[in-house]
Amino acid sequence: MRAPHERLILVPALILALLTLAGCFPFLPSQGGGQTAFEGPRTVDPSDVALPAGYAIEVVATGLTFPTGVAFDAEGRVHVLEAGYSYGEVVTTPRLLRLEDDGAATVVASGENPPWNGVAYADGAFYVAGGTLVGGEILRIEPGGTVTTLIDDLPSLGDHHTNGPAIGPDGWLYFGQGTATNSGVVGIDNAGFGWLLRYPDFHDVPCEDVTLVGRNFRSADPLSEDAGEVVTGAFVPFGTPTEAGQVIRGTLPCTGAVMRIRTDGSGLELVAWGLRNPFGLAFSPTDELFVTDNQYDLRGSRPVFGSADLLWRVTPGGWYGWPDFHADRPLTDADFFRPPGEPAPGFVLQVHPGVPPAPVARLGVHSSSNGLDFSASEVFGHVGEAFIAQFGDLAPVAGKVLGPVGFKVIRVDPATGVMRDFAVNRAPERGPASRLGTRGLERPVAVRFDPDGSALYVVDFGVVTVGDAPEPRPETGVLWRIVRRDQP
Amino acid sequence: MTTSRSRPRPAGFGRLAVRMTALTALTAALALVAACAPAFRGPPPLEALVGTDAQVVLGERVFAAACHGCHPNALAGLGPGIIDSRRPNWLIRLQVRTGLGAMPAFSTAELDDVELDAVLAYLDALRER
Repeated sequence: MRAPHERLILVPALILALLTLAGCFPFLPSQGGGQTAFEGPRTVDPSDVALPAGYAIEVVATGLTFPTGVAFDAEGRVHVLEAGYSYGEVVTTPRLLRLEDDGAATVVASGENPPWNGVAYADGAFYVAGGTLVGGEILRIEPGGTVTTLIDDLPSLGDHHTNGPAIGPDGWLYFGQGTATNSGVVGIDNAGFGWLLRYPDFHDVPCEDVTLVGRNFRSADPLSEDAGEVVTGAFVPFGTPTEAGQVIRGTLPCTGAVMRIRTDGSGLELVAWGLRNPFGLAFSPTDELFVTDNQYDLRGSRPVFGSADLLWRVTPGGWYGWPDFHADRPLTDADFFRPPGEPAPGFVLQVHPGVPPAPVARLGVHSSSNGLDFSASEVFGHVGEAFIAQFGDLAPVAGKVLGPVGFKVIRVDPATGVMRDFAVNRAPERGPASRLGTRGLERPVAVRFDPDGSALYVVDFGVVTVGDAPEPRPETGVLWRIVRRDQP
Repeated sequence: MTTSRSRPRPAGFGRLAVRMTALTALTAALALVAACAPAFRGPPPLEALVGTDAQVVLGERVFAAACHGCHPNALAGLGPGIIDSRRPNWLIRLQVRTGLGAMPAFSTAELDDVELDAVLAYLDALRER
């Protein structure tokens, strides 16, 4: 018979061993960057932002509401785009602003279909991508304020919208179209985003024909009053089941894709698909198209765990894995993608168009890696490297994190995939200024070099705290500028 | 009548069992404390690692491709921080190969021993900055 003191040791030993095997992840609280309180107004101080030696940051504009882009006209004048919408279902007015030398902002144009997610300037006009209330669109805005719609009714009514644009070396306008859902299946999470109640029939649309496994997912039904349940498959409206072997016809425009049009709006073409939310588009100094792709969240009927945001080098005609792969790894790899305590996501497609290539870089999980641009100037340095604005996590809505992810500008060497912080809050911990109690960066959403490449402009969306849902704060957006002080 | 519970044991067996159990408990406690303890130091500086050897350079590349997503800059993200915790390298090696908890296991086909050694050398270089 075992002595009492042996039992005393054995029991805690077993408990400890079990805890060690299970890991501490399930027991630790989420520590997202937005899980904090904020009392406005926001104040800023460049000295609270750390940069590599030789670089300096300064404030260009404050008090912006949900800014998402920056561009320069033929005279090099700075223009800022305000989205007019933020997650959290806050709607304002989308605007293109010209920043005058005296610090004043002049409204060049405004719209009624937010969010305006990005802006580019080429050959005498601004091009804006966006729209979710009545569908996605690409607009051409003359410096005098005349607005022309180049293409509309893009499938942008869901979680992710029409993004970009970038004017290619071929003169075509390239844009991203995000997916309607997290991983292909409309669910209760889409009611949380607001759109399922507005557009109950909306769903993802593949760019080419796909054949389904026929997996269906049970969820609560926010569209009915009797608190019932419904069954929903992939690439179909909420509450619609699918069957094995069912073919969903591909069409253009589609979701989860990069497409292109001529700058007069004609000639819509597919560039690449199988992306999730291709938010940032930029051509490298060697004229290759790079795209940042926000990857899966831990939400909805088919949650996916642990998928890092990606930087892709996009090859025309390529398929990049959504909704069944994360980069080159299939979602059937349950050890990597099964959420703790939930089923593995598995496949929803019977046949895949191929195996996606390896990405250029695997960025932080939930970092919301968004706008990017390439340095092309020896004056600024790091020529050929990609600078990426990381909006930062929306934990716990998008999934739990053990520490804030993003809230900074990073640089990536496309040759190695190595990432390094470039502009980050100066503090003993990481996170947005509102969490750290400083006056530095909140949520960088876009970066762009000025026309001569000597200054990097950083668009800071502003404060978004996260409780049960994102809570964006109007008039907290900031435009920053980074220059090199020890120029060669 | 003799039952299995009262079967005679060799002399010294009880003491050995207690020692082994105590050792197991100590190891488990150490691992848990190392894995779940809060951070004890701030993030590293922004400068690139310079003048480092080939193993550290390889380790940085491998870390970027395999680890950075969940442990950005070896700090907490989806997963816990690495260089700001008291995790010893032997525990990191064990965790990489066996995938304890929410972390997936990386086989030698995914990450060979040369690459894993390089990642640990890179983490050491980060800690020493």
